[in-house]
Parts: sequence; C-alpha cells; structure tokens
Amino acid sequence: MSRMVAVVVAVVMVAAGAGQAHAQSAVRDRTVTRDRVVFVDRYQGRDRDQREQQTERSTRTLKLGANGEVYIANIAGHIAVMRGGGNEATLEIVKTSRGRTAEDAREMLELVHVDITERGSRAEIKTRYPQGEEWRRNNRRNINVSVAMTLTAPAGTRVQASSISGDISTRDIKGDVALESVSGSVRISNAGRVAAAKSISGSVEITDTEIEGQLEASSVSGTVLMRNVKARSLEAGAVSGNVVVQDVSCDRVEAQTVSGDVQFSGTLARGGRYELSSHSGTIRAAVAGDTGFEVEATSFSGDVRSDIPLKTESTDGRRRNRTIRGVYGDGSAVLDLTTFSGSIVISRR
Amino acid sequence: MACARHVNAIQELVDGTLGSIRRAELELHLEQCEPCRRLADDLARIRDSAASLEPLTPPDRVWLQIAGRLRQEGRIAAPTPLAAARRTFMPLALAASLLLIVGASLYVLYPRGTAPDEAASAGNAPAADAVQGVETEFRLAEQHLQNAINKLQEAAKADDAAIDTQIASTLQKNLEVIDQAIAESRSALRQEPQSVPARDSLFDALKRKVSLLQDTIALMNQMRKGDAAGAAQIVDSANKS
Amino acid sequence: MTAPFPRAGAAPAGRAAELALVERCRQGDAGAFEEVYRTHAGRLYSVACRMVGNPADAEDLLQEIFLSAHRKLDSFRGESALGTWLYRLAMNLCLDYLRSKASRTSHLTDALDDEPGLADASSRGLANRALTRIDMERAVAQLPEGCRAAFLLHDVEGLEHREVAEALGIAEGTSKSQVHKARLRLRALLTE
Repeated sequence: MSRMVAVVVAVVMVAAGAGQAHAQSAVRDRTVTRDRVVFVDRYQGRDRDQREQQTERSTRTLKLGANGEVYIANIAGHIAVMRGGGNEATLEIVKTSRGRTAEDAREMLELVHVDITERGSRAEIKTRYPQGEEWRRNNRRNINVSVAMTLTAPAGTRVQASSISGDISTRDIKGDVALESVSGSVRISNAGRVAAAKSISGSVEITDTEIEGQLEASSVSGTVLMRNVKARSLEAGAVSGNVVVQDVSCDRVEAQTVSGDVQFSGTLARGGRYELSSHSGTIRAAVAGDTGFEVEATSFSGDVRSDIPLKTESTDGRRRNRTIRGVYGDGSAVLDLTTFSGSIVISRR
Repeated sequence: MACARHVNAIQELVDGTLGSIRRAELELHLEQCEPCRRLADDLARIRDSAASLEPLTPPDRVWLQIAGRLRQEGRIAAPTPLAAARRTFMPLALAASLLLIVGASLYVLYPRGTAPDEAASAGNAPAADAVQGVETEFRLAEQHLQNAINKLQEAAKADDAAIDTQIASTLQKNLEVIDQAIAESRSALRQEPQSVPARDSLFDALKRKVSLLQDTIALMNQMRKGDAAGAAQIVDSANKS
Repeated sequence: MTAPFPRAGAAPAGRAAELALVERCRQGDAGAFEEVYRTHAGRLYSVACRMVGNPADAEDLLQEIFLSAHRKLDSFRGESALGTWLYRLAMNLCLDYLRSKASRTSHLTDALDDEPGLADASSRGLANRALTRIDMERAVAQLPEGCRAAFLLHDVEGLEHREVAEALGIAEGTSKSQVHKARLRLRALLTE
C-alpha cells in the first residue's frame, strides 16, 4: 500500500517593495499530517539579476529504519545525502523559482511538485514538472524552478539518486549508493558500497571510501577522480575527461579515457595490476613506495619514458621511443600503459 | 480452500513426477474441486513462469578478470588466443546499469561492450574452435563493430529531439573525439598493418563508440519515459535565463 | 525455454569428456578453463543474481566461484556432473555471502512452517492476473534463502530434485518440500 503525500503548500507571502534587494520576510505554517510534521517556510526577495525569486522550503520525516532504501529522481537542483543518527531520515526540500514578478515566480513554484511515496522502509522522492504536449502548447513560458534536496539518513540506507542538471553527493552513507547525473557532478565520500557513479558532462569523485568489491566511476566529458580509496578493483573511465587515481589500495586498477589524461599516483599493491590507457592524452604514473613492478608501456606515435631505472628487455630499434618493457625490483605488480598518440611518463612520486 | 490432503499430489503433478494411478485419481478430484484446480493452475503457472525467466548474462570483463588472476597466481599458462589478440581489456562499460531499449535484435546481437566474436563464443560453442587466422578474425570483428555503430547512429538520429540541446552537444562532441581516435587508428593501421598498438587502439575506439551510442540511446529513452524531455527543455531555459 | 548451454547433468558419455576437460584445466590449460567458463558462467551468474539480489555482487561472486573452482579442481572426481559440482560451489558461496550480510542467520533449508498460499485470503489465487517477469523476479527475491535456492535450481534452472539435492547438500525429499514450499509462498506473494 502506498501513500502519496505531496509537499503541502502554505499561505502566500506578503509582497515587499519593488526595486530593492532586501531581507526576506517569512511566515511559518505548521501542518500536522498524520504523525508527520511539515514545516513550510516561504521566502521571497530579489536575486542579484533583479528578477523576483520565490523560495519554498519544507521538511519531511521518513521512517526508513536503519537499512531503508531511498530512490530520488530530481531534474534541476542538487541532491545531498548525509548521515544522521537514529532510524529516521529527514528530507529538506528547497524549491526556488525566478520570475519577472513575484506573482509570476509564485505561480511557477506551484507548478512544480515533489512526490514522496513511502512503502515500508522504502521511500521514493520524485520531482514533477508540468508535462505533456498540451501543457507545452498552451503555456509557452519557461518554468524557471529548481529543487534542491538534502537528505539526512541513517548510515545503512541504500541510496539511488539521479538528477539531470543537479550535483549529487553522499557522505558517510554505507548502504549501496548509485548516483547518476547528466550534467551535474557526482561526489561520494566515505561510502561502503558503490553500485554506480556516473555523469555525462559532470565530474565524478569518489574519496575516502573502503569497499570490498569493485568500484566503477565514469563520466563522458567530466573528470573522474578516485582518491584514498580501497577496493578489490577500480574502474574509472571518461571519453574527453581526465582520469585521476590517487593513493588507492587495490588489486586491479583500470583507468581509461580517449582524449583526456590519466594520472596515477600512489603505492602499488604486491601482485596488483594497473592498466592505464588513453588515445591522445598523456599517461603519468607516479609510483610511490618500493613495491616491485613489471611495466609494459606502449604508444603508437607518442613518447614513452621512465624516470625510474628499470631492467629492460631489448626493444625493437624502430620502436625504442615508443615502447618500454622492463622490471623494477621483484616485478610483482604489473603496469600496463597504453596510448596511441599521447605520451607516457613513469616516475617516482 | 484447497484440500490439504491433495496439496502434495498437486505439487508432484506440477513437478511431473506423479505416478499414473495417483495422477488419474487426482485429475478426477480436480474436476470436482474448484479450489484445488485453482491451486494446480496457479502452481503450474508459477513453474512455467520460472522456467521462462531469462538467463542473465555476465559482463565479459568477468572472464578477463578471472583469467588475469589465475595468470597472476601462476595457475594457468599462456594467455588464451582471444586474450592474446586483444591486449587491452574491455573498455569501461559506461552507464552499465541504464536499460538499453533499442530493437530487441540489436540488443541480442550486441550485448554491452562485447565484440561479436566474444559474443558468439559466450553463447554455446567453446572459443577453441573456429580459429580462422587472427587477421580475418580482426577484420570481421571490426566490420561487426562498425555495423553496430551504424545501426545505433541511425537509432540515435531518429529521435534526437528527446535530449536537451546542451547535453546533446556534449555527447556529439565526445562522439567526435572518438571518431577522431578511430580515424587516426585506421590510418596508422593502413601504414603499419602489423602494428599491435594501432590495432588495439582501433578496437578500443570502436568499442568506446558503441558504448557511448548505447548510452546516448538509453538516455533518450529514460528522458522520454518521464517526459523528462519536456522538463529538460524547461531546465535548459532555466540554465540560460 | 531453450537453454543455450548443455544441461548441467550430462549423460555418462558427456562425463568422460568432462573429466578430460577438467584434467586439462588442472594442467593449467587456459583455453580449457575458458571453455568451462563459457559453458557454465551464464547459468551460475543467473542463479547468483537471483540469490543475492543485485548484479554487482553477483559479478563479484561469479569471479569467486570460478577462482574457487579452479583451486578446487583436484577435488572434482566426476561423481557428479561438472555443472552440479559448480552449482554446489556457487550456492555455498552465495549463502555464505548472504549470511555475512544478514543480521539473522540463514539456513540452507528453512523451517517448514504452516504452508502459506492455502489460506482463505488467497483462495482466489492468481486468477487471471498476468505474471510478468518483474513480478516473478521481485517475488522470488522475497523468498527465504533456503527455499529460494531450491526453487531457483529446480523451477528456474530446470534441475531435477536429485540434482538439486546434490547441489545443496540436502536429501532429495527435502529438495521437494523446499521447492513446493517456495511455490506456495510465491502464490501468496503474487496474490497480494
């Protein structure tokens, strides 16, 4: 059984004087819906560009339990999820609209809803804009409304969140995390399990995280960064974005991009396998520590160089600048570095 | 309510293990007892539905990871012919969790991130047979990848209204980045047909393109589903204003 | 459903071929082990996915299953079919994995409590309701692990009770009661 509860809209605000950027006037309306208390605060004022701005803030408690599940689908606006205590989650929603007049801005606010559905320990939160061909034909105006969501939830909550133009972040959430944005960034910190971390044009960053299995992150044109991460294996990819892998502890690292650069820095795991590739970008492997490794670095037309002295096999004369095959120390880790036209540099950090 | 004393027999009937005498007795009973009949029908439907659940396919990288580990541990000898031919691992499966809702045949032909030779051997016949010679294998694989790319591009063009212009432009630019990589690799391969880096580079780039096109189409489908396209247009103007 | 792979319980002639293949694997033949993988990975992955409930974990488990299988090749003597042997390995790993995740202990077989699905509330049963794939997958995911395991192997993967019993290390009669219980549970779940 599901209960649909839309965010309750409270009483309209008093208009302020025109032509000045000034402090907000506020009214707090308290409505009790079943055993949930919804506070709706409304503010109005002018933003810097001298357009009227209306903000509606509401808070909602979700009884998720310690290991609940949250599914968030937003369109324009950020999503931030962080750990809170107890068995309940608190969702704060801030809708912001910008219009030519206060009236205009207020009307637009009313058109955008956040639908919240709770079923047992699972909550679905979806932003809904007016839809359909008919609406678009009859109302040619643009709806300039963004919805920012902040969720404070128990650490064991599983989070699946997507946004189109908003940034998404989770912090200290140990349940499964799957975040996808189209043009916003994705930031995950201190997670326990990452099922997905993707963006198309935004950057993707995973930091300070220790998981047992595989970690994957990808962006098309944004930078993909993994720092201070421990996992069995890492996969980081981009097309035109850069890939940065720093201070990770894994048995396998796969980092690829097409025109971006790949930067790896940190210690190598004994027996670890590190595959870095780019088509036209530069690959920099800055190795710290003293773990031995075997390296095969090849480029079709780019320069390949190692600043670390290696025991090398004899290489084909024609390809001397384009290939390095060598061993450092006991050769336990494997470095597999490939570019087409970009250069490759192996150095000490 | 179904008769408790017949439940076991009904289950065995669904299992197909009921002896002929008991079966005849049960069928007689079922003609007269509606709740039992309903139970039998339901359990049979459940069994049939279970039997027709699609087999799920693991991503190809799993085999490569297994082989890599076993090699590291010294448990297996030389790399398999397929692995030797393709030095670098499978390209990153971008957006692997997005559903691909393109024509069913296309999806079946080209499961995510798979080169067709690998897809074929993932099915039934062991990879060992049908070794045609590495060169032919590559040429065929390249052809298949290119066909996949052409089909996907058609599908993407057919519905480019679904995606917000800014996002579409980002995707287009990145497709061009990959196209350039493909062109450079092909040109290099023409000059040095034996070059392993050039060949690896070409295949990587072709697979990346398939991947990106699949993701683009999946994105279009997602956006169309929630009429998020409309919302995206709204967002677009929100970003600009 | 036509399975693209040979059935798990191969005929005796197939057993000899299996033993030969396993022997090649023992000697480090990568191609031979890849053949084992190609033949069985799809099925094992399907079962793992439906046991642990998500593809990412199932992928990790699939890796472990095959790595573990390679390490344990010496203990495969051909008494059962290779597929059944692999299912057993897979199930053990899946259940271990689920146990380590769950706060309560899970058992290979669940206590046989009152049979659900017979009570008046669900006497209307499924009626004309359509059974979509998603309905089934969701319902299966809600089964208790023990009978889910037996159900997946018997009704989904098509093993016989004898093979299920071998794979799960239980008696054949127990396999029957587990699968039967699972069906009744599913009927109740799908009727809600």
